[in-house]
Order: sequence, then C-alpha cells, then structure tokens
Amino acid sequence: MMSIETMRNEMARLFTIGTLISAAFVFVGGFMYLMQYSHETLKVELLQPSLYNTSIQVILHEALHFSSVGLIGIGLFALVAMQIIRVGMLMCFYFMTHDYRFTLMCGFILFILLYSFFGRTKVY
Amino acid sequence: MTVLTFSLLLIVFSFLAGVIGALTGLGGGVIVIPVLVLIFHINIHYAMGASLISVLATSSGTAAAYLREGYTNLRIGIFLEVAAVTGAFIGAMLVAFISKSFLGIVFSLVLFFSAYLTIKRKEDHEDYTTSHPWATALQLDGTYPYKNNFLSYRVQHVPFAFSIMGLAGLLAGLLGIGSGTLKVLAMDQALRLPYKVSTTTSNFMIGITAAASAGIYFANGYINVLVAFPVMIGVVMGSFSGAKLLMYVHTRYLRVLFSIVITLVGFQMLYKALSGTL
Repeated sequence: MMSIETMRNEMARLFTIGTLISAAFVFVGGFMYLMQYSHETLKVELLQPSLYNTSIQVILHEALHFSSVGLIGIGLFALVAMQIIRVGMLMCFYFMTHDYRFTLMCGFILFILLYSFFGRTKVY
Repeated sequence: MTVLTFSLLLIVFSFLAGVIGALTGLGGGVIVIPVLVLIFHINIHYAMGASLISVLATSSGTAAAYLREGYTNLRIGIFLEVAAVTGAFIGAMLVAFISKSFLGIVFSLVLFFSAYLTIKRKEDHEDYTTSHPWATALQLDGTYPYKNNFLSYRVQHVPFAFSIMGLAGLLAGLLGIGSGTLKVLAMDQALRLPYKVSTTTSNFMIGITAAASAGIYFANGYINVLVAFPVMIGVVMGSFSGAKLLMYVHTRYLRVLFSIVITLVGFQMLYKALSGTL
C-alpha cells in the first residue's frame, strides 16, 4: 500500500513537472507576444475590459492555432488543473488507505472546484 | 512606456511578490494588486485576475519543495479547506445583504491585532504534551524538519481554527480578497503549529481556494494576457527561490515580515472601507 511519503513525493513530482510545463507554455506564448508587440507603446485602452475573450472555448481554439494568447491561456489553465489534480490524487490516496473521512472531505472540495470551474460563468 | 519595458518591470515586481508569498504563505496577491493598480494604473479587474494567477503560481511553485522537505501538513490543509470553500460559497450568496464597508473595517482591525499576536508568539517555548481530541481523532498531529532532525508537534483548538477558516472563506467570498492571511493566523494562533508549518500549509491551501475562483475570472475575461504572463513568469521564479530560502530563514524574521505585510494589507483594507471603494 502506498505510504504518505510516497504520496508526497509523487505530488511533489507532479508539481515540479506541471509548473515547468505551465511556465514553458506561458514563456513561449509571452515570447511570441513580445516579438509582435514589444516596441508598441502601452496604451491605456489596452488595459480596459473586454479586449480579450478568455473563456475556456476561446483559449482552446486560440491554442490550436498556436497564437500567443492561446499558448499563455493553456499555461494558465495548467496551473488551475494542477490544483484539481492534487485534490483528486489525495482523494484516491485516502480511499486506498481506507481513510473514508478524508476521502469524503477531498470529494467535497473536488466537487466545489469542478463546479466552480465548469459550472459558473457569471460574477455574483 | 513600451510593452517590453512594462513586461520586464512586471517580472521584477512579480519575482519579489513570489519570494514574499512563498515565505509568508500569503500568495503574491498582496503585492501584485497594489503594484498593478497604484504604479501601472491597470484596470482593477485585470489586477485581481493577475493576483489570482500569482496565488496559483506561488502555491504551485512552492508545493514541490515544501512537500519533499516535509513541512506541509496535508491532513490539516484538506480539513481546513472544507471550512474555507464552504465559507466562500456562503459568502458569495450573502454578498448582497451585508455591508462591505463594515466588514472591511472589522477585518482591518483583526489584521492589526493579528500582526501584534504574530510578533508576540514565541513558539520555541511551547511544548504541548496533549493534542485536542479532534486532532487525535483526525490524526492531525505531525512532524517538521528542524536542524537536520524532525520535531513533532501537537495540534490545539481545532474547532476554533475550523471556525476561523469558515470566516476566512466567508470574507473571501464577500470581499473578493485572498484568504491566506487568516489561513496562516488560524494555524499559527489557534492550532499552535510551528510557524513554517503554518505558512507552507497555507501555501498548499491558497492554490486550491484560488482554483475555485478561476472559472469566474476566465469566463469574465479578467485574465489579461499582457498582464498575466509577466506575473506568472516572475512569480514562479520568485516562489522557487522563496521555497529554497525558507529552510534558512529564521522563524523570527518570517514573523516580522508577515506582521509588516498584514499591517499594510490592514491599512489598505481600512482605506478602501472608509472611502467606500471596497
């Protein structure tokens, strides 16, 4: 049976690899973005709302076309995904070790995370 | 200012935010938002989006080191996170019925008092022989690395900490603030954990809490790539460095740093509450 130390090491590995992959996407996307716009003057209008559509569907669509915005978006999604995966990993671990109280707690948090990410689209 | 200059400056500030976030357990948001809004005059929604990214990046960047070193207490993190996410949900539902200014003033006073309590606590002199019954039942006690050895600690006042975490989530839902401050305080002042265990476990938790808000931010277009990418790169580098530093920084200095940061957050909150901009 998996020990808590093994679990910690597996999770640490997930975060090392995941953070590096996420940072690589953001770095490449950012580099492409700077190649295009680095010498432009920062305009106030550029920082007003509604210039970018960052919905999940649009980010995925942009990423498939290797646009800088899409690649950065994928990197940022990876950051969120790692949080969800870590709760999922812990839930599996507690289930395998027959710790059902903590399995339930992880399940509850996982439900809130998934619901928040995929279920809600409006600001309160 | 050109886009390139802006990006490079933001990477530098975000690096600093990542280091401080990793050391204090607060995430980088407490630095990122004031820098973006006050220095660069960036739209507050994008600043909040960038703050969310910085919290996620700090939590992710520090996780590997803190887990391997054995600082993070996963069971406490999960247990308290249940209260935090529940509170955040209730807070979001109550947002229309409660005066934000009043809450902001109360919260800022809590922060000032907490800064005093954090400085005052001398954990080296504490040695509990028993744990709270809930801590025993939930197996929350643990060990942490200390001078090439592992020291054990016993967890106290679990219901009190659970209540504070519910309140932290409630405030996060009501005021749209990060709840790292109260997370560290709940573990330091209520559970009486060693300080480095509190800050590292907080770093574990803030990523999960932030992920719960991420869907809303993405869906509403608050994640501006021009702002988010320098923040992400700077914070990841800063949090990796901060995680390495934690092993060598004396707890006393961390307490002082934490107290200074939450006092500044308290003043910021008080100003917003009194000026009606909360």
